[in-house]
Amino acid sequence: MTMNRAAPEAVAGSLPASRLDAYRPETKPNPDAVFWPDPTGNPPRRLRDTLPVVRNLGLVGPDTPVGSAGSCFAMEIAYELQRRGFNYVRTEDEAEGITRGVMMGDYDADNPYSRFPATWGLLFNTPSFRQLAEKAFGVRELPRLLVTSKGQDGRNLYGDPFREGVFFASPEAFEADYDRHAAATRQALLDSRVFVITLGLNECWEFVPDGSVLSRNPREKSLLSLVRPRVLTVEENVAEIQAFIDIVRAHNPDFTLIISVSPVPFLATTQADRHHVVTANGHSKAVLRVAAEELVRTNRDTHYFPSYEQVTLCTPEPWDADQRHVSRDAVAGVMRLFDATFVTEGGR
Amino acid sequence: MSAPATIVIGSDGQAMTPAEIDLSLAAIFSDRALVRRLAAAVAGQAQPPRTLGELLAAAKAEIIRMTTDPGALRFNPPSLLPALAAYARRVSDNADVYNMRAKANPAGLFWPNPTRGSKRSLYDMLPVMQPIPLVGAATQVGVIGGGFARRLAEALGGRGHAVKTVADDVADMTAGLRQMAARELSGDRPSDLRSFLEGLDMLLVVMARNEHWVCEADGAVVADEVPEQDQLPALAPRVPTVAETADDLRAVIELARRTKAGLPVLLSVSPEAPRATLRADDLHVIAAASHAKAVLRAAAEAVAESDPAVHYLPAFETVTMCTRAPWAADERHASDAAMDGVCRLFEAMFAEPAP
Repeated sequence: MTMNRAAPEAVAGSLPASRLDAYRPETKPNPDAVFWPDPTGNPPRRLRDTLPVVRNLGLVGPDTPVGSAGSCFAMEIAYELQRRGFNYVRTEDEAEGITRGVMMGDYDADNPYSRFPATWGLLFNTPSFRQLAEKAFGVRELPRLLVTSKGQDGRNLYGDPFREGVFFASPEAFEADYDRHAAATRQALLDSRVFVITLGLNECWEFVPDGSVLSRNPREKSLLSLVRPRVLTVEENVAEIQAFIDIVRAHNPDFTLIISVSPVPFLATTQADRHHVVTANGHSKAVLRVAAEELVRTNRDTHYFPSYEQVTLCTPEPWDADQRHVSRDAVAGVMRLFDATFVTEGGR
Repeated sequence: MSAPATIVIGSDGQAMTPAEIDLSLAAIFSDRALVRRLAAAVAGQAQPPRTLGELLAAAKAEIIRMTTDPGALRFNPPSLLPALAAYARRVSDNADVYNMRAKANPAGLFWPNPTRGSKRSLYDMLPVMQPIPLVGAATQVGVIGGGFARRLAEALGGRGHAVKTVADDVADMTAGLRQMAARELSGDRPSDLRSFLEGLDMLLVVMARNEHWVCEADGAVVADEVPEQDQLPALAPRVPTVAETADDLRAVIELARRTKAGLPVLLSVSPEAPRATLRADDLHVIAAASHAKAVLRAAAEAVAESDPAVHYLPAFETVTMCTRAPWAADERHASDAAMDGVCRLFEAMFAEPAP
């Protein structure tokens, strides 16, 4: 397998090119990137008018194949990219899946956009990214496990705990779809020139028999006997995404990765015996933010997209009414930041 | 090679399949030969188990049988029963992970949602799970750090707490704090910091900055956040990692406890952003600030997790998430309302209940 980690000294440094220029705005690609904005300063600058961008990297043009994966925040980015006519990679279709007994939760026939390039579902934790690539390229077999639940019509539905929000009408439908979906996932990762991932949380549930990680918390009682909660460290998160990068780039060397941290907080914490959900969430986002920085520092063609900062610091009303999901204003701000950071002039 | 068989779990009221039994036992025991033996015995019963409880009872019965089977002695059957019990406890614990009734503060399990249920708002809550009553009326609290630490100490003092402070900009950074502690606490000579610590019942360390500069000549940490231009040729930039930051904190705590044995320590992260970044060639000050706070937050957790007398005070979270208007007019310093929230958090987490 090709290793893509660049030697640290070969990576664009995060230290000033010249220490004498460290705080000289006129020497920076964005002079406003040096000092914290101050509405009472001269000239006055406000957080809400600031995009935390240093320079435009010109990675995404109108024809650039772009894919994405992650939590519900990644889904918002996917919708926006498609709505604006970018070349969003789609290798699997939700509507077609229904004809084969493969159903996505909250399917909306009126929504013309894909949530993700293939119907792999929501990925909340970093091991799920590794497992996605492992399954796509045949590196490792995930357990073929289905968890039974009742659908709204009272019939059994079968959920794959490694594909969040995807349900099957029968075990046979799951088996018939397995290789087809793996191929669609592989094709999506091969077709994507630029791929955006959002890191959601650092808590996860491990499947005890083989150490695989569920894509989210176990909601069915039957699964509780097979799993245990884990809290991932910075190093573990880095290793998981590094494995994802290495596997994909062994097959798609031109794969450019954009890493962001989802601003959407936990729904709940596994650590509530000791930590409040707000505190646990603060730790989770911190761990992921540091992991993202480390991955960008040590990999070529890997960039940090500060959507977390854009939402939590630069958006006056960042939250929806539920105070957890992002507002439309926040999504709009994130896309302005995406344009400013990654989109070529012709793509804007 | 044929694909592995799909295992279906959770079919209500139906007998567990051999594959489901095997899977459950594999979640208890890592020895495949043992799992195969137990699974064959359990699945071969006249009435295969329908529930986890029945499965565990059948496995236990088989293990007891194994104690009299010379062919099974290599599995050391008596050692297997505790594993079964531990597994049952784990399943029970898992069931309680998201059970509000099992929590000291039921409101601390799920993210608040003003549109549902109890209609709790982020802005009406303090992130306290389990109070740790360490602070009484006479408890002498020492606060150490930079500007935010100074304001916090004043605010706590204003609410009647016995508070002393060492406010020094070099203590804004863990490397600077470590330098200060090493200089003033090494050996036995008197020093201001030693006197400060000797009178304390609790130390609150407020971390604010990650990026800093050191003198190239002697490695000394520079207190100034943005050094004068004519100083820069003699300085080198530093952006410490989580491990380095945690190492600094542990060294500071160890030095402090040499002066004041067993001193309880609270760690906190200032929500106030740095004035500037030295990394603006590649990173906007807003992204650099979030990275800096993330490093400090992760380091605080690592240290608190490894020392039972160290606790994390979530001032950063209280200000940035639980305060409706967190910033002063300059959008960098905490508002008065935010400071008030941090004081109330401190009291809710650490104050002894009134008699």
